[in-house]
Amino acid sequence: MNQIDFENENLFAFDEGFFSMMYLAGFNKRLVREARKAVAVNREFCLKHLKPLALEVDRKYEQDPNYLPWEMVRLAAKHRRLSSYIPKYLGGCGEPMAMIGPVMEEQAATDTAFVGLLGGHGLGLAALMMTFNLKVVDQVIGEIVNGEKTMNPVMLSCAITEPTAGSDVEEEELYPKARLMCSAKRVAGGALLNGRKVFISTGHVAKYHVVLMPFDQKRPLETFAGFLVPSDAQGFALGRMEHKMGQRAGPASELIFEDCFVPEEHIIMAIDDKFGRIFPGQYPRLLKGVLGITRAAVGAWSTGTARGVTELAIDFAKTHKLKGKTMISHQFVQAHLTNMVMNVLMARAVYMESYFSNMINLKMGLDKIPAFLDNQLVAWLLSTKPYKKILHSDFVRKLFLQNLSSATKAQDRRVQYAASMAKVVGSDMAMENCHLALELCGEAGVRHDRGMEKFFRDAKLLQIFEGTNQLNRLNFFHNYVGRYVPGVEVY
Amino acid sequence: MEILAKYCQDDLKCFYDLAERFANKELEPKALELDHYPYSEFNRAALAAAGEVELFKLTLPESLGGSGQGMAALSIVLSRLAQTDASFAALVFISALAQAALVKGAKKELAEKYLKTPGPIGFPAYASPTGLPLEVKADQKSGGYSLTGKFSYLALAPVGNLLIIPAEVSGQASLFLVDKNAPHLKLSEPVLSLGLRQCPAADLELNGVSCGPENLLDCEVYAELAAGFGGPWAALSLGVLVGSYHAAKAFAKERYQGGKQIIEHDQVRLMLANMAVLIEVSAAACMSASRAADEGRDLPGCFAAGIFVTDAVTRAATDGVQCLGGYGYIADYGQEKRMRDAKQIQALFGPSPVKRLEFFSSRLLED
Repeated sequence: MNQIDFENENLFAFDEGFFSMMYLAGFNKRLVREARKAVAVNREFCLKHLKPLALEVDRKYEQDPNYLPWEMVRLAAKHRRLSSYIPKYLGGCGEPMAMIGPVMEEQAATDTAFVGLLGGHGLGLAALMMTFNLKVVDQVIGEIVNGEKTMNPVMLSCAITEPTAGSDVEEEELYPKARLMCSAKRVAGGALLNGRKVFISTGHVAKYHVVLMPFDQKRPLETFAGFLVPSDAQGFALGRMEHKMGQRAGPASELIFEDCFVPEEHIIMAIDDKFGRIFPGQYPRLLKGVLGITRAAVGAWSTGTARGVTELAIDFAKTHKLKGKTMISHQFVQAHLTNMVMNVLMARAVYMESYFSNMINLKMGLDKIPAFLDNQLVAWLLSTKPYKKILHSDFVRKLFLQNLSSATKAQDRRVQYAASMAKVVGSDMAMENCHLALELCGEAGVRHDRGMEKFFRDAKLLQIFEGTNQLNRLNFFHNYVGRYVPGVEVY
Repeated sequence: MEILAKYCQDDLKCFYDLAERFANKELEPKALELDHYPYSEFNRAALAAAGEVELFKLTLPESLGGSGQGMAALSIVLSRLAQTDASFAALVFISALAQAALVKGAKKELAEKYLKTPGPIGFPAYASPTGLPLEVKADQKSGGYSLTGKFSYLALAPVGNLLIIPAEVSGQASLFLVDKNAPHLKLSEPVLSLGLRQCPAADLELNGVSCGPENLLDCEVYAELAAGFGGPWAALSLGVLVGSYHAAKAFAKERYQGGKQIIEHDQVRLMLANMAVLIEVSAAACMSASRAADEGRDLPGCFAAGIFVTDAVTRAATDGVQCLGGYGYIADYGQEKRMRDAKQIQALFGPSPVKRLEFFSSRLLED
């Protein structure tokens, strides 16, 4: 297989785009400096360690559809990719959580599937953090960080999707119409969970599952609650692992709950607890906040996919001959490749807007952690009992929830439509670039050992999960155009 | 109603029925299970059954013991087979193409010898017909030829006993007939590919493979011959599209989201509508091109049907997966296989933009 000289040739280098952020450097030097550094760290990780493994893991899955990519999980732990954006004061690597997009793009350009593995974990972490149940967040983050040190990786999953409710649990407006099969029930000391969740990313390799389920199926929005379920919980079992067309490094799992007991301290969010009573509407706010973050992330992930296949196509065109000269010397090839590169840069611009939108409109303070706090001394201080008491207090939790609830309707809308646009544009560009790459490269494009057909198979899922692109278009319309058309029915 | 039925006379209906019986009995039960080749078995049972019902004799001239049928009959058969399993349909297609090249390009005695019991033939089906690769060199030696070099991705090489390999002779591309077991010929393991997995390919290494002068096929007519196969090529994609459409429609009628069947959601409906429109257009193009080829009319023009349909179906089959949501992405439903098979079919005869440019060049020549 032809090798691109990734060390010295980087078409999509930080300085070749991200112009908005470059300008921002004049106002927020730290954010740009940290983002640039995070991209460089991840690029080295991808080229040296991830690239040699990507095709091989995919091939192993073809040989054995029940293969679990533990070597990928261990690789992620060894290089601290599971705690990469956890702040240093919580023991993580401190890569800028607010600007994780360029990092995901960089990773996906090497292996879309690996980002799926980390993505499932990240989704679980995002949902957990959005409850602001800092006692549980702190406990889990501590285990993730420790797991990397001891090479006993701790991963999360986030379980929302049910067999008869996919799109219906992705948008607040569809919940009343959803045919839900899962439900929780209060019992002495905690709750019992029953039902099945499907297509749950990283289910088969996760230690903890962040499960979202209603107490009352007839009033889902009002009663959806969050539960932390360890993989060895009584009443919990892993079901089938789906045999997917691509993105095989991230298992898609069935989770089965049969009177699965969750103790009170692991009910991380509920409408009938003290916080639920003070902050009604906590679940819809959590849902929208999580989707605002994760759809922007899928935009970045998709851009990386579009980019990865483009890089391979350029490499092919540089070395393959047609009618006596290299393909890249032909005008039609130059135009074809230009369209692909432009697609990447357009998708990049769109997801960046979504990240900036989240920083402005999603009140999580992700970019507000002062630099002087984000270091190991503070991490030690915060690990002491007095500070833990403050961090885990109801007061601090209320502060965060209050901040999140203070977002205006306009801010909510901006988070939603910007994220949906990032997801739709990015994934459509990824799929389009994969089509274009295989069309240009003929037989080389369809061979597994050239890497391009893997991107093609991996890309399709980006248009489907986190809400199908059809659903995301409606979400965009509802939040962007629909507000000016009173009475229009959208869903 | 079978979509192609309205485009053909009753005399071709028997070929549709033959293909349907074959698809239901030999392909349907194992299509998904065997879609992991080379990490699953090759469907030798279906290959044997295909021989018994004389699928490989369909387009062979009657003078060589075949049915003497043309592109129209082949298109009917391929489209129905491809609805169930495009990869076996592609095996039949490439074998028919290789047979035609052999019949046109070889001496009668050679054709009679090798096509007595026709079966799969290794063939450069992914190469451009107007620009066959020159990686393998043929040097004249002892009255015959000695072939040296590497050829990548020869379709059906893992399963055919006979191979047709392009090689350079005095600066020009030619086709050579080579026995797979010839000395100094090495085949790689079957190449793991995106789609059409029961129609596998392998890489070849030739280190002085000898063959007689009669093994050199006249390939001046190959480009025109390949163009005439534009209709059957389109038929492969048409079959995939019909299969994808039926699966998407059935799912959309059963699946409820947003309080109603998803077929009632306009965006899903529009994807299905686009597929339905494309089916009609593709069937018309396929049969028109096939008839034209059978009547010897405008053979270069027949290729346009293949270019258009195979390109368009790749996007439609992607939408076919989208209609099933997450279920479309998993192997059990067969929809993701159709998306992969459609893309692999598009790769036949070379890169898409090159095919279009070469087609246009052939039109310019006529001016």
